[in-house]
Amino acid sequence: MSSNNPETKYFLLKKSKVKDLLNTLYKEFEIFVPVEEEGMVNFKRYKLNNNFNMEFTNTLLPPKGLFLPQQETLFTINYKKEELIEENLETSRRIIFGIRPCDSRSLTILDEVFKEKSEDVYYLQKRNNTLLIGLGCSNPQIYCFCSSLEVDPGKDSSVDIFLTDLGEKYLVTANTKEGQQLIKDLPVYFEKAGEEEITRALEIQSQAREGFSVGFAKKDTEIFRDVEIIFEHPIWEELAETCLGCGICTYLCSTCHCFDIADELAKNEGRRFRCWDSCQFFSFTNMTSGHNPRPNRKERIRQRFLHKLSYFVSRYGSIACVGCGRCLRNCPVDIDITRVIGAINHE
Amino acid sequence: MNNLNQIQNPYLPRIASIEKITQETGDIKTFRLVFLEGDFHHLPGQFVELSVFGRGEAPISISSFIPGENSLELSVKKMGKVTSYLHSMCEGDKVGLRGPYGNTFPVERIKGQNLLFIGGGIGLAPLRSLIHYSFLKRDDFGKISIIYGARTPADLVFKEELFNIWSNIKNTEVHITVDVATNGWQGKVGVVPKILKELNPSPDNTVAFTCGPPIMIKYSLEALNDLNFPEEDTVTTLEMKMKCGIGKCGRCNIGNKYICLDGPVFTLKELKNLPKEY
Amino acid sequence: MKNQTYIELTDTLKQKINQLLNEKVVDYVIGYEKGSLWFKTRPFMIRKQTEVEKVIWNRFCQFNLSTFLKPISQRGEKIGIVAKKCDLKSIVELIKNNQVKKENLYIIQVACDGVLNWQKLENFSGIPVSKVIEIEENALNLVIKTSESSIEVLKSDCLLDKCLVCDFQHSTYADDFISISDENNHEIRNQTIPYFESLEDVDYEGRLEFWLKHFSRCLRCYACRNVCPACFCPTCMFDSQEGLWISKESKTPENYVYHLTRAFHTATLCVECGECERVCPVNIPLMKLNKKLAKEVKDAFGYQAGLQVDELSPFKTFCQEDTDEFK
Repeated sequence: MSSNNPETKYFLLKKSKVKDLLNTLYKEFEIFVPVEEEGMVNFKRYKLNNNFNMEFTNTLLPPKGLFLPQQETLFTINYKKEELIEENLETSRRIIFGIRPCDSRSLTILDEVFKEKSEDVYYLQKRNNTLLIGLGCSNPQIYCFCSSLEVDPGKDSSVDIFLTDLGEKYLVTANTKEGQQLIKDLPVYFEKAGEEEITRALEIQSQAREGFSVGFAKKDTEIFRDVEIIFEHPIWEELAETCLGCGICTYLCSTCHCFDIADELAKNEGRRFRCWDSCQFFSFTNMTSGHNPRPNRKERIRQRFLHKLSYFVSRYGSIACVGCGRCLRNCPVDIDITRVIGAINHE
Repeated sequence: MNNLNQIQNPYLPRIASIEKITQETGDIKTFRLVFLEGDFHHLPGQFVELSVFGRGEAPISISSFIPGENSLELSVKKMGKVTSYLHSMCEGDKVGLRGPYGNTFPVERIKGQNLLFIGGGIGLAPLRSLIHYSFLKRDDFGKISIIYGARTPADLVFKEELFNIWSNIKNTEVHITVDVATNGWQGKVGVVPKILKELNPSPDNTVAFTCGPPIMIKYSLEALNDLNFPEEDTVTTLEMKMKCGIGKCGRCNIGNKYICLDGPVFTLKELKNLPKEY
Repeated sequence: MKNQTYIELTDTLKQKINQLLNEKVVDYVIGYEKGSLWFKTRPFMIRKQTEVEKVIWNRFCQFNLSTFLKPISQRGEKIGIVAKKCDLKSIVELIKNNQVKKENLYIIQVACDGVLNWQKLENFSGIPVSKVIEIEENALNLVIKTSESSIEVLKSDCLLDKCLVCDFQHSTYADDFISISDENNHEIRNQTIPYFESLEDVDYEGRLEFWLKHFSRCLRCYACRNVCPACFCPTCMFDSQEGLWISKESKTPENYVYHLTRAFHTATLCVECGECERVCPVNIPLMKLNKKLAKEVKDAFGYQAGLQVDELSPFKTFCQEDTDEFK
């Protein structure tokens, strides 16, 4: 998260030099790169000379976990001394190398939540310490629908540095002062881009907006502004019939951020942690009294869709979905947000 | 944004000591808590996140209004892990507190008006903060009526205040009822909404506050409607599962509201704009 | 995807469902409809005759629909269910364990030639599903066509693991068997491909390392449990009281306890349908665990789940002949 600078500059980075670049940055930064393991690509901490995979379409897990880890200690308690020991929130400076435009958008959406009123120091400390190096999509996946949500897969000005794949090399765009500084400090790796390369990159960037298999029209999301119309729509009952109530859609979602807080007790020490939780679980809203305002799958699945498409919009001004397609790819019963939006509008 | 060290970590509780424990009923105790350091400012209607370290946190509404001190009271029913453990704690033991959180009863807007409190069981606890407040600023308000009921006489909370203190304050009425009379109960018998109807309070220049079991709230709201209380002058507090208390964890989301930030106090008019998921 | 057999089977299936609804034999039928993408299908509850048109039957009907017979989703209605041979085993277990009454079921077994797995399709053809325009089938191969090229891959390479050992025959528990002819040519079943890489020969440390590695990435989304027809407890022990048995944190020891407990709880019930492994978003090889337990049960008691309705589970019977390893 860095200050924007209107002055944008173009450079070239040879793919053959990326590993050297990462090895150099490694001295100063904690770097997360896409790595393929067990048939899945995910952001992993880069170690010297590690292999990485920049040919991925998107990571299986969204990068939200680098800011809101699946579990995170909030503080520990020493009983003997009756003392609270705050977690050290200081982190080294970090880089996410190769974040896709949909995922970088998800971070700006999460920022809204974690900055509202009481600032969430655990999230924001990591966010402020992280430089984003984005990677444009030239080949959207069959599940992708980011273009329906006004994410430009080819171009991302919200990241510090943006890469466009030109085959042998990347066109490098510095969007922020921090991004420009990084390039300036490492002249060995970045050469000035020529007009020809810039033109080619622009072509590639605009081509990325084509070739989506699924999606919806922007105006089809407007119906969600009227909660009264949408709340009792028969589709929730229909979806609930097959929904398994698992947490895949929420855990793999790049904008779902709900969490639980609990304590763990050891002999003389206690620990308070937070961990991901899912609105699809019965326990999410089940109160100690036994009353549960969302006792059935119908209410829970409706909550997930309306939170993203309606409630979030009226609270923060944007839809809490970036079209990354992870829910669509992984839902065991093929519950498809694009179909839900389409069905509510046209059936 | 870079001066994060100056931002207070909202997840760190402050330590408070249990100063006094009052056994209200078989399973309800009132804990008077005093902060070890620093001030505590709140308004009626707000809640705190109470930590029993090593066991967890629970949102509890503040049941007192004690000005000028760094103390507060929480009236807690023994229910889950945290509250059960709290009930086993003694005076002098330490707990953690975060907050105060949430919105407040509309204390400014109701100045000069009559106040009608309708409480059931432990539901009197959040109302008590406003009752304390209104007695403290007694001349700011008109007539104060309190209708309170519990299942049996043994289930009544704040008995000392109900029977001996509040009714002696000027221009104040206290009506106490039980569902089932036991132990030689000589007072009113009947559920709260029924007593409310019998008392037939006038809605003129009056704001009604209700809190209690869901079924009591439901029928009390119907009764208030029959008595022509306008929706904007009918106030209730919502209970919802909460964790963070600061609008992040998503748990208490109903419609575009977070109960921990935008509630727990809502007028009936506001409630009608929310999806019925509470 | 063109396959004349499946098109004809779909037509017959639709007629059957239509008849069942029309004659009020069932209140609704659990079947499949077209999914969001060409290689996907989704479970479909057919309640009205107007919905029958959407019913499909193809090589991507992988979901084991019997999980929708779990009591939690039942409303006392009479249910028709579309089932593959392998799904029948789960239904047998549900009946056997009093989770559903046979008289409330109408089982329509549909001839199945094996279910294709799209990830295998991508891996073996090297063609991402987004580029595929059409797939044709011949006796042994799939012809995968893109706008530029066409590639042939072995059908058996792209089938779900379980299909490689299936006999695809009519089950006696089905009320109906929808097939084109009795002479369906199942080349695939003759193959004896070792589809299960056992850990039997790996030592204790190796096995521990293997499972710790895989369990460490578990997200505890509970998809494996929720999709499992054998996980029919009304309240799972891991949901019963928050943090009672294991913490909600997805940490290795917690994940270990979760998966091992589930494996033990479903031993003798698991029919190896593979749904848990298929839905796992982080590719945990859960079937290795289930198969190991099934093997132990078979070795110790000669029992296999899902075969006979009247055969009692060894966990529910006492036999003088049972081995007593504690002596």
